[in-house]
This record gives sequence, structure tokens and C-alpha cells, in this order.
Amino acid sequence: MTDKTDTPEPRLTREQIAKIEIGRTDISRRAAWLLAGCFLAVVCAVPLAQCACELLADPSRPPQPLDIFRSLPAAARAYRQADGSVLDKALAANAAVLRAKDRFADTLEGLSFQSRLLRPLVQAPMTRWGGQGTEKAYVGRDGWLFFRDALDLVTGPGFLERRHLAKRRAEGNEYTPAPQGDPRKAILQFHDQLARRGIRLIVVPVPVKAMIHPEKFSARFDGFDGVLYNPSFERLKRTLEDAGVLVFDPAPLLAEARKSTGREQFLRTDTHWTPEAMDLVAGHLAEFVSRRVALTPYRVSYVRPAGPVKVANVGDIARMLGLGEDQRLFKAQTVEIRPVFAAGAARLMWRPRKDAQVLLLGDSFTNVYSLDGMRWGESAGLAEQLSFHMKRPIDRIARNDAGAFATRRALGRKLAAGRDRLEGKKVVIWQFAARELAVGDWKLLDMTVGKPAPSNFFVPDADSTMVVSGTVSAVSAVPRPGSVPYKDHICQIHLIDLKDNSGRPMPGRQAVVFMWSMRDKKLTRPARYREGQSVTLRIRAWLGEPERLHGRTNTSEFNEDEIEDILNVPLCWGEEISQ
Amino acid sequence: MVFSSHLFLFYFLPAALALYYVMPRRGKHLVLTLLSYAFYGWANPLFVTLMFTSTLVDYLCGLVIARQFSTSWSQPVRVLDRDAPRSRTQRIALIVSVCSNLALLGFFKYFNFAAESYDSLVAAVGLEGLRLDTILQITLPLGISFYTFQSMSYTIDVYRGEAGAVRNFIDFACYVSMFPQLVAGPIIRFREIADQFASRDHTAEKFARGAAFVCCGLAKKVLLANTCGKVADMAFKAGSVGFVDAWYGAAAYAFQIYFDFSGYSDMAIGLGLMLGFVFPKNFDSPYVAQSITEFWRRWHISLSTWLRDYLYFPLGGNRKGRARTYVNLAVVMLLGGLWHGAAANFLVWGAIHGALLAVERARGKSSIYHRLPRPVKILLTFIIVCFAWVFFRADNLPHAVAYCRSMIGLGGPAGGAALIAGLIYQPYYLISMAGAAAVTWLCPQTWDFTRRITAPKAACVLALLAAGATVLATQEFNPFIYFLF
Repeated sequence: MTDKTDTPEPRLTREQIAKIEIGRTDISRRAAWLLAGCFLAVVCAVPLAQCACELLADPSRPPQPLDIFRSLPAAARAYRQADGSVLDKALAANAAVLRAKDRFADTLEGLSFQSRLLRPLVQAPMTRWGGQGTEKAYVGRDGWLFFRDALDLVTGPGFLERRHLAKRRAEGNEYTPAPQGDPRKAILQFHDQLARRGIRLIVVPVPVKAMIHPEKFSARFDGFDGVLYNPSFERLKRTLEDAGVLVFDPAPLLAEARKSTGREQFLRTDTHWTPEAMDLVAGHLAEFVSRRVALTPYRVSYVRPAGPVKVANVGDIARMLGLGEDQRLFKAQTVEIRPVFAAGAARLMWRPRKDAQVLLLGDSFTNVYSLDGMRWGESAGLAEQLSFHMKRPIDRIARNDAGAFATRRALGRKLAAGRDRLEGKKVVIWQFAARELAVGDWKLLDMTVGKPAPSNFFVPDADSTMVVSGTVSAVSAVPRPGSVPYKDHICQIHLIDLKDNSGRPMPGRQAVVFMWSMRDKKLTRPARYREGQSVTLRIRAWLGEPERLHGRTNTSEFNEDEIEDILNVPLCWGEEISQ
Repeated sequence: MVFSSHLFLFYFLPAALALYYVMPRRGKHLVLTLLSYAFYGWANPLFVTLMFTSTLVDYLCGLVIARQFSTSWSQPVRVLDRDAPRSRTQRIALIVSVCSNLALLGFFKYFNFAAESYDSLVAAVGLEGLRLDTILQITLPLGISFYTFQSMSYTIDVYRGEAGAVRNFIDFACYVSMFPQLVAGPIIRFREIADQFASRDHTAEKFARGAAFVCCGLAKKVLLANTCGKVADMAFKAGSVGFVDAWYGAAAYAFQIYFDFSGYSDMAIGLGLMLGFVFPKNFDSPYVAQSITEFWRRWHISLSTWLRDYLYFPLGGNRKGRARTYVNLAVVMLLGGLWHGAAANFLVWGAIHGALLAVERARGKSSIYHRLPRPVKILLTFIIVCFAWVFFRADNLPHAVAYCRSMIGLGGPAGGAALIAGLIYQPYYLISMAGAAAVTWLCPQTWDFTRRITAPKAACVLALLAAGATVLATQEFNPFIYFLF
């Protein structure tokens, strides 16, 4: 039992007692120097080693710890550019500094050699014997892993409860607006926008793993054969259906399939469903659509080869544990996918068609088995299977992650640019992960078809490529590798003082450029761009080939607070040439 | 920037120590002030202007109260005679200082709470038309509750004749902003530390003991507080938890807040020692208390003594009869609760402690279970404290009530909330909870542990640093509870 320290005479103050206590420290001079020296050696060794590692890797670039000094020019620029009173300008400059220092601190920790070196060594035993995951990846039973946000949906309070919505409203900070946490508003707004054009909306909230397989997380649910819903789900469904929105809830289907077949509906170490579960849902969804929406018959059909294709992979949640690529704790899982091809001798892989009457907006549950970057095979995703079951072409806009917002934003951007992606559509199927109901940003968006207006932002002509140089004004958010379930990421760079190859100022003098920020769980150089840095890039228009190739990759984009009227800004795709 | 962060430990701290020690003696306070402002500005650069303004006002008020402007600057500042009457100017200066500090605190911390409470009240009595509907997007400046109290105590002490005014602005700014204790205390009174500003020694022994404090504090924070905090977070974020989970979560929070705050205090004391300052003890093994009265003698001592000296005593303390004593205790604890957060649940937390203190005072400062064996008394006190912590941790009052219902067996896990068992009973968390309990009740506190530093103890301290730094490199959950206050 802990004893109280010696209590000297009662009249002494606490500070006097402390001084007496410190004066009584019993340590030899040699030991004191040794302890102090070792302490200083440890705290100094880390930054020195970090700088040395970085200089060895790239001698041309100053070590990352010095990047902090770059935030000051950004603040000065923000002050100059802000409108309003001195206070408004000061607040803008303050927000710029806060953004820069948060990015700095994140990158400093994310890139620290200490973290990269120690993480796999420490995490492996903690996971194996302690059942300890990470902030994003939780360890379940029998080798199963769970994504934290998805689990929170099931264990947390109702996402429509005041307590939860109040918390969401408090999530913003000086430079990031708080999310709109109420899914009802955004879904109903989207429903109304589509209804005005005679288009039906079907929402498909794909259940998270813990809703269908809770027994794989806690023994308390052994023998459970139902669905674990968030307490607010029924209320949401009722509200939407009362307003005329069609809701297709795949959860009962998957629970029933698990019960009747005994087969797993989700991948063990991944966030997503199995190919069989996806196919089951696609089949029932096709039937659901055909019963409720009158579609004109099509003469296009699709085929699936008789033999399934085997794909083996370690899931995204296992990779989030940061155990390293050569980890042996979680084995690759083999699944059988059924790619979809256009019928005919050429066996062309399935492609979305813009003239289709059905538009599927989807997230990674749509992309899995379709997007090669997810490592689970190609041409066998939700859009493909749905197309196969409906026996008709489908248009698709899919963005990994943030399905509550990203796909609507992509659609809204196309509409604003005068490209009416909703033309000829009869139904929009909006698939998102159910976890988005609790953690997504359900921002209200404009879906008006605009006319291409002259823009101050430069974009090269279609199919042409240009070399330009400019100054980085801002970089959109970049995730820390390992903290997200994906391995690749694209960010946006706002370039100003744009000049062509010969140093002549470019029209508009500014551009917004998509660039790789993370490749195979490693941050790229653009991810570390800082405000005020001069860069030279090879750029081309984003709409076209770059969007087709990279459009479904996880992306972070500027919001309206960062670049005014961002939805109408023409975008570029860029690759770095030199610093 | 929290002490237990990569940025502080491996970048700010070495740089700060290097700058401090290369600076000649005359410039040490200036460099320490600038470092502290940089440390503070890291949270939000705009807050720096606020702290500077508060510092300047209190500095000038201190000089006015001490009549420094009416005497020669070459003469030493004299402490006012305690019994002499104070002039109108001196009273006004004191009022300006106290009001400016309370206004700062009131606006940034309590404006929205007051506006919301007023709106709820008028709505409840059917006067909807009188609603203010004014909620401002206010960011609470970091550490404002601490530095306003600290700086206010200075002018009050000067006025009372308990401390001399400080003439050197840099010294005063350094006292208010000193980064080791700026954001979470301990709350230091100027009169107790003034002599250290005049002269203090920097010895290897002091530095080594400071390093030992920092290592122990870091280990408490990273190895115990953060892991227990994860369990508490799961339990409190869950929709509705069962009986066992609720108690387990509340105990986890009790450990989290203790190791979080006492670990931070240890690091603050250690950093102070490295810079030559000696700060007093802030925690004295509070969970070995056998009554709530004893708990408050051991928990956050710098706050409880501040409240005693600047609130309880001026209210009359125990000198105005028994009934008034109980009222004073209740008022102090209610305001203590409100100091922690502008919400009804903090008020309830303060009220619970205030009521229990009053009951124990009526019984001669002994608990109602004082006849039971010591371990049982300790356990019962811990259980009461845990129960009260629920109001401290919950998102709001209804959440706290719902959680308490689970703790007395009236609530139950609704749907998926029972799933949290899959995480909170994992071996890693069970071991951490057991470790936290062992350190709480079986290990010596940091002051005792570091009093005699032998070679094995030095090795142990360095091992704690290595373990703390290693886990820190992999840990993403690293909140600091008192940052919110």
C-alpha cells in the first residue's frame, strides 16, 4: 500500500515541503550525470537520426522537421488574400498556420523512422498475445478483424440521437467545417433533386461486418442469427420510405444466407463482403429495381465464365495493423470471383455506359472485386454483377471511402460543368456503407446542370499534356499510411503563379491538380508539398483518361471553404517532374 | 502539444533545453517565456494574444496595488502591510484584475452554457419569445482555467499583503506562461515561487531527478492512462452497456484520469526540475483515501488548496457556524465542478462531492463507513469516486444518468452495445487494468520512488522511458483529459 511521503512540520507550505523533498534527493553525482546523459541521449537521438535518414534518402531536400518554418509565408499569404476586417484577415492567417502545423505534426509522426521501425516489432506480439489492434483495426475471434468505424456504428448510440448529432457538430475546427451529420437531410434532398427530373432514388446501406457476424467479435453473440442494427436505423428507414425513397436493406438477406448456408458473408480480415454475398445482393437488388421502376428493355447482355477465378489476398484491415508486408499472423484468404464480360466473341471486360438508364453511385463495396488496386480482382464488382442480373448496361460513379458524400460530389461536379450525367436515367442506386450513417459527412449539395463558364483556373486542352511550374498554395488532406484501409490515395494541389515551360504566366495563373499522395502505403513527394514551395509538373485535363484510370481511387478534395466554387473548377491530373 | 507526444518529447524538449542552457543567466527567463509562448501558440496562435493581455493586465494591477507607480523604481518592492487599509485605487486595481480574469474565463468557458441554460429555462416556463438563441462558435483557449486562476491569485496575494509585486515583466510573464505547468498545472502561486525567480540552482542531481519524474510520468500516461482510456472510451461511447461492463468502464476511467493527470503532473514537475524550478506535489495517492475528505486532500492538491484559500476561506470557511460551513463546502465543490466544465453533469459531479464532504464534516471529517477495516474503507471510497466520475466523463447529464442506471443494474446492453466486450476484455486491456490497479495500490508514488535513485532504479527509469517511447511510436490513442479544461 502506498504510504504518504514524510510530512514535515505543518506550518510549511506545499512548495517549501517540495523544496525540502527535492533537497533530500539521494543520488551519486556519477549516477546523476549518467541518468541525465542517457535521458538527453534518447530524446536527442530520435530527431538527429530522423534528419540523418532523410538526408541520406534525399540530400536535395531539407529534412522534414524544418518544414515548420514554411507555415509563416502561408499565413502571410492567407492574411493578404482574406477579405474583410483586420480580425477576419487575422483569423484567416491563424487558420492557415493551424492547418500547416497540424499537417506538419501528422507528417512528422507518420514519417518518423522510429515509428516505422518499431511499429511492426511492437504490434505483432501485442496483436498475437494481447488481442490489441490499432485505433482503426480491432482484433476479433478466429483470426477475424474489424474496422473501428464500422464497429462503432453497432456499439454506439443511435446516429439520429441528439447526443450523437451534437458530437458531430462539434467535430469541426478553425479550418475544417463541421460535418453535416444527419443523413436524412442529404438523402431527402437528393431524392427531391432526382424526383424533379423523374428519376427514382434507391438507397442501399450495405451492412457492416459486425452487424452480420457479431459472434466473430464477441463470444456473447455465439449462436446469434439476426442482424445487429444501430438503434436509429429503423427510424431512418421509416422516414425515408414515408418520403417516397426506396430503401433496399441487404442485411436481412445476408443474415439469412449466413444462417441457411453457414457460410461467411464477409471477408475475415477485410472490411468488405464476400463475392457470394455481393452476388446475392446484386441478384435481389436487380429484382427489387425491376419490380419498382419501369425500365425500357435493352438488347445488351452480359456473361460470366463458367469457372470462377480464384483470388488470394490479405484484407485491408490486416494491412492497417502495420505489421509489415511479410507478416504471418493473418494469412491470405482465397475467394472465388466471377468476372462479368460483354457477351460476344471478343469477351470485352464490363464497362459502365453513360447512356444507361440505371446509375449506380457506390463506394468500396462497389469497387471491391472490380478495382484492381484493391487487390481482390477485376470486373466482378457490384456494378458488374448488377448489370449481369439486370441484363442491361449500368452507369457507375464509384469512389472508395466517404460514400455518403464523394459520389454525390463527383456527380454534382459533372453536372455543374454542364455534363449531364443524369440525362436519360430512370433510377439512381445509391450504395454506401452503413457506417457512413454514423460517421459520414452528409453535406447538402447542388445538383443543377450548369453551363461551362470561363474559369480563372487553367486546364490544358483535352488529350494534351503541358509542363508548368507554379507555387503550391494548398494541399488537400493526406491520410497517414496505415491509418486508413487503402494503400493508394490521391490529393489535390492548388497551384498559383502558374508559368509555362518558358516562364510565361499561364491564363488564370492558377490550377487545381490531382496527384498521387500515397502509393502502396508510402507517402509520395506531393503529399509533403508545403505552401510556398515551387514545383514543376506535367499536367493534363482530369476529365478523360486520368479520371477513367484513377477516378475510383481514394481521393481527398478541397472544400468550398478552401477554394471558392470548387465544384465548378476544372481539374488537372499532374505528375512531378522536379522540385 | 501534449508532453506525451512525439513532437514534444523529441523536438520541442531537446530544443528548449538546449536554448535554455546556452542562454546566460540573465536571459534564461526571457528564453523560457518565449519558449512557453511558442508551446502555447502551438495549440492556437491567437490564444497567445489572450494570455499576453491577461498577463499584462495582472502585471499592471499588481504594480498599482503595490503602489509601485508612486515610489521610485530603484527601491525594492515592499509587501503591503496586511492590516493597513487599502486605498480606492488599490481596490479598483484588484477588481480590474479579478474581473478581467473572470470575464475571460466566463466568456470563453461559460457563455454558451449560460445562454443554453437561459434558453432552456425560459422555454420551460413557456416564455419562448425571450429565448436568446445565441450560440457562438467559441474555441476554449487551452489552459485558460489554469493560468487565469494562477494570475488572479497573484494580484489577490499582493492585495492581501501576502506577496510582493513583481517589477520585472519578463519574470511575471514567465511565471504565468511557464510551459511545464501552463496547460494543466500544478497551479503555482507566485508568492511560493518568487524566490525561485530571484535565484535557483541547476544541478545534475536536480536534472536527474527531473528526468526520472518525466520518465515515470510518461510511462504512467502512455502505458496505463491511454490503455485504460481506450476501455473507458468504448464503455462510455457505447449506446447502453450492461452492469459489469459499466463498472469496468467506470473503473477504467478512474484509472485513466488518475494516470493521465498525475502522469502529466509528474512530467510537469520533472520538466520544472530540469529548468531549476521546484513545483509542489499535485497528487498524493488519492485512491488510497479512506474518505472523500481525505480524497480531496490527495487529489489535484493545487486546485483544492487554491479553492480553499481563495474561495472557501473568503466565504467564511468553518468560522460561521455549522450550517454555513456545509453551505460553503457545497458552494466550493459546485464551483469546482463548474471550473472543470460548463455543463450540468460537472455541476452534479461537484454537488455529489460537496454533499459527501458536508456529510463527513458533520461526522467530524470521517466517513459513514469509518468503522470498517482500512481496505474496505479504501474500496468504498474508490467506488464512490468511480460513481461520481461517471458525471465527469459522460457526454451530458442524460447520458450520465443512463450510465448510472446501468451501474445499478437498471439498464442493460441494447443491441450491439454488448459487442464492446470483444474489445475491452482482450488480454492486453485486462493486463493494463491489472497493472493500473497494482501501481495505484501497491507501488510507491513518484516522489517516493525517485527520492533515492540507485543504479537499478536509474536503469528502471530508463527502461520506463524506452517502453513509453516505444509504445508511443505505435499508439494512436493519446488524448489528454485536462486539455479540455
